[in-house]
Amino acid sequence: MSVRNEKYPEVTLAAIVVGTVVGILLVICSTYSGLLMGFTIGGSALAAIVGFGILRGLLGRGTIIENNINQTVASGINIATAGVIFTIPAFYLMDQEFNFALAAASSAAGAALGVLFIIPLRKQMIELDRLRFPTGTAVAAVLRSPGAGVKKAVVLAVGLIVGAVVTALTVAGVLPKTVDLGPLVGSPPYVANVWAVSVFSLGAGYITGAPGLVVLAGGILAYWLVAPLAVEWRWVDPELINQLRHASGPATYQAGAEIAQWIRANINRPIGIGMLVGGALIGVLLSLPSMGGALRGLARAGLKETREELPLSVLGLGILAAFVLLVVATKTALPEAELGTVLLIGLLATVWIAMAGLVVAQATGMTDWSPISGLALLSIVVFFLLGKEATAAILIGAAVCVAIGECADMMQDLKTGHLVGAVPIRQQVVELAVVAIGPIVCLLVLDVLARGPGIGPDSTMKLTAPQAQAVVATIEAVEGGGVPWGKYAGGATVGGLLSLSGFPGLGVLVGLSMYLPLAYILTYGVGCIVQVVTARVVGRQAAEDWGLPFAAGLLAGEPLVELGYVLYRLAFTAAAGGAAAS
Amino acid sequence: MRTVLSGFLLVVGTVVATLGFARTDPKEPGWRQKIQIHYPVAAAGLVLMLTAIALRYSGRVAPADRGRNDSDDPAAPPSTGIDIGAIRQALSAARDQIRTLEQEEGETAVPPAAIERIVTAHLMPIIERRHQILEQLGGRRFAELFGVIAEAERWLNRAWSAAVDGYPAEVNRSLANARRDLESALALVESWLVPGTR
Repeated sequence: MSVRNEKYPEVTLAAIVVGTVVGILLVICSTYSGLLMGFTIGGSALAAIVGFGILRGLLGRGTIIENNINQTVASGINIATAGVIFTIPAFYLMDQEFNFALAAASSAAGAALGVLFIIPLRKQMIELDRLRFPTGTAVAAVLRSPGAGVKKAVVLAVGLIVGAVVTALTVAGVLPKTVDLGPLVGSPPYVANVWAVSVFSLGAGYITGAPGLVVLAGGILAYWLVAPLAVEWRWVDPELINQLRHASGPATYQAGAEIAQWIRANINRPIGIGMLVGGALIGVLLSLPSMGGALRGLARAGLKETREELPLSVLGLGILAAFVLLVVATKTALPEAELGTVLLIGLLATVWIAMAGLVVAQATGMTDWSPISGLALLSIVVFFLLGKEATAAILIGAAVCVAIGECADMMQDLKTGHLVGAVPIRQQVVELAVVAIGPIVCLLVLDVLARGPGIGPDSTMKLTAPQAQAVVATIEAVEGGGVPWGKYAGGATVGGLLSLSGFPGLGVLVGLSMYLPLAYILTYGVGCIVQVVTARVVGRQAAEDWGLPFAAGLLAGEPLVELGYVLYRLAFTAAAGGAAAS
Repeated sequence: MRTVLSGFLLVVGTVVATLGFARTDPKEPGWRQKIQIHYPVAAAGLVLMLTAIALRYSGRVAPADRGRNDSDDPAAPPSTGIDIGAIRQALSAARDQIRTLEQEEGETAVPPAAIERIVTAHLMPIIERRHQILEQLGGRRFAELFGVIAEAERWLNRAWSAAVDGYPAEVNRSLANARRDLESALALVESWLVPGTR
């Protein structure tokens, strides 16, 4: 290691350029995979690995904190994809025209609002609550690997290889994506007993450790107790029960799986979303005294010799600017609406972004899972009812969806930054500087794909946009008057009481367990149990020192293979298109 | 016993309330009648949950009374419920270790492991006890103290990164910043030990 006396590089042109290029590449791949298969690619760990390769390997430079800026930029650009592809393709599915500039403006406003709203909570969530943010912790382990010693670097590499190999085998179809233990243990067919083959969930569970066991317990209560009772008491669609009665052999488990799916969509999910919102809001109310202290610290930070946080005045101005942009976009989408109505919608959207961002940041901090899709659907319902018009509801839904993704990403990045010693204001400024790139690139890619392979529910079309189909279905349900308000409100009450019970974040954790599919909760739970057992057997420090790099490798291995697979599919599509043209 | 009972009631209450609220969907036929049956079930679940919460908080009355002066009155010293002296000792030890590294810095490069040891040996034990400390100090004082400790930790992490990357000037600067924050934390703790200083 050479010793240098010059300034320690952190925000450099190389870091920003590499981060931007990697981020744009990830947006292209994520947009394609999201429209084709319904999943996007996590960017932080990938950007850290690719950044190391380029900055250290090719350019022969790149400090730990410089690479942290690279991953902050790349993930900040990439995360917007999830929000855009979840909502905007609904226009194509409904065969409705939309204004590109309007979509770009509202998504960019949402992205900026997401970052601006969450910055003041850094002290509370990272320094005081010390939420784990598993991906942020894993990325820090990747970034710190050059200094952590050869043995730990090897452990991380082994984790990465195991993660990549298992994911490659599932992608290739050699290993199943899920394993149904129901027939093996003889559990009733409608009791979900499916386990996901997901090294990512396993790694996230390990990094979360004991607190994640609450999610496992909540999942078991929701799926193994509430669900069977719902079937027993005939609360489920009678047609599905009939199908189950008349099924035999393997078809029994197929019919049972449909019932489990129905229960999740109609009971667990809406109650879970309510719990998340109620639990997070009560959590915030309980944290007000320490949050006040943290905010006073933030105000004091401005008086220090070197500023470490974006000042509250700048955040306020930024929020105002993004609010104005959102109002302009809403007014353009709803030209007939009165200014008062538009201002009210803009204000509600801004307040909702702050609230939903908080929920998502807490959920991500505690478990690594963010209920983005559920909150986005709820946003679309609320704003459709307010504006009585699908275009504005989808545009605001896009803004909310992008915003809450950015909230979670900013916090993950700031957690990584804390662990490697980055100066928060530098991360905050670069994230704000690049935050609009993601939605714009994603919209451009969407436009190209819509003109090329096409987007639509028609089976002859290649890209079916599975997540946006949920948006269309929700709008149709709202038009039919079928919003489960009782379940949302009931869930919020239960979630609020759970958070009042003295266990920090309990409402959010149980809400997540009701909201998520059990298959991932079970695998995640295995990761949590492995961590607890390892800590008991070899000691907490050893479990952290050696288990964390391995889990970080698992977390990075899965998106690495997914990226490779999507690149392969993109190349295959391009080659097929070229052959057809010739 | 109280904790076990409270936990049991909370679980049962959550399940009952969830089951009650599971039947409140206006799109189902005859939902008004169903609500008449199921809202009482949900209400019973909520009552069980509230009982659990009341039990849990009533169990905390004694320590809360003992530490009443700890809350947000800036002039009052914290009660002896928490060993503030141990926190002061750990913070002093961390600061002294940093001083030693700063003095050695001129002669040899600081090994990253030595920096990491300060975090794991002196700061982590305090950080791991943060829930008890929060309960004893109250939200405002907790935020003041832990905000500064976390900043010191971040500067130590930066010193570690700079040491790995080979930037001794940055190591020195970051160690100095970490020491400054720990001194602020110590001043805070000491002011609580001497009544009337804050």
